[in-house]
Amino acid sequence: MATAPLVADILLAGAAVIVTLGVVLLGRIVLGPTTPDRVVAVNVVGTATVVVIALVAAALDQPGYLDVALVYALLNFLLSVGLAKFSIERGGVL
Amino acid sequence: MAVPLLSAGLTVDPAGPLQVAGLSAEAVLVALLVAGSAFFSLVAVVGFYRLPDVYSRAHAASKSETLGALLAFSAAGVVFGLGQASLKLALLALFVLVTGPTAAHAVVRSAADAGRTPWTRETGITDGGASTDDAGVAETPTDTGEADR
Repeated sequence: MATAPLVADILLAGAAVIVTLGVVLLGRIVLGPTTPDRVVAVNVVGTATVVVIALVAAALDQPGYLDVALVYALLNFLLSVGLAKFSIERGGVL
Repeated sequence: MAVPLLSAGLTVDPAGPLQVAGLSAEAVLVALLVAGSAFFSLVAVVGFYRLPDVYSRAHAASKSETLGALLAFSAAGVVFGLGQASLKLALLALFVLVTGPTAAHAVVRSAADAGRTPWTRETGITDGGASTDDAGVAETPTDTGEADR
């Protein structure tokens, strides 16, 4: 059951838009100005990456890519929470 | 027999799928969901560049980006149909829905514990912030935040 070409094109166009927005967000990571700004921006870029993986999986009809997206979402959450806990001396968040 | 609706090319065939201007219903639904996802992601990015503070930026991230991600997962779920892939997508959507705002909250709470003061109209950016003039924020005075650093 391959994806219809029109639907695949729509999904890939949406993935391209979200990739572009993620690249634009790299500017916010560069010009901070503080560490929490950068952490939140990296978190959003990671979420956008998960979204792109899911859209490409649907467009190419490859359900196995969704496992990659799940693991990436877990690692993204771990990164944010770890940086939030250990960027401050008393790790009292969460 | 096709029943015309709204005289705009939208016809409902009771014995078949919804057809809009010759496109399949799946294509229309996926296009709407993907467009909504792109819109909310764009709102999140614009908020990241226009908002002055880590708290307001985390606000944009945790709401708008999460909703965009959920709409994109819905689009992929419509394409895959019911099955194992949809179950994985539902898990992914639930996980993003739970952990996106949680991660933003953790980062913001660590920032608050580190003593970052929120932006207000009177004080401007005070503690460790810089005025974001790259997007042409006209409301931010350019002299605030320069002397503090």
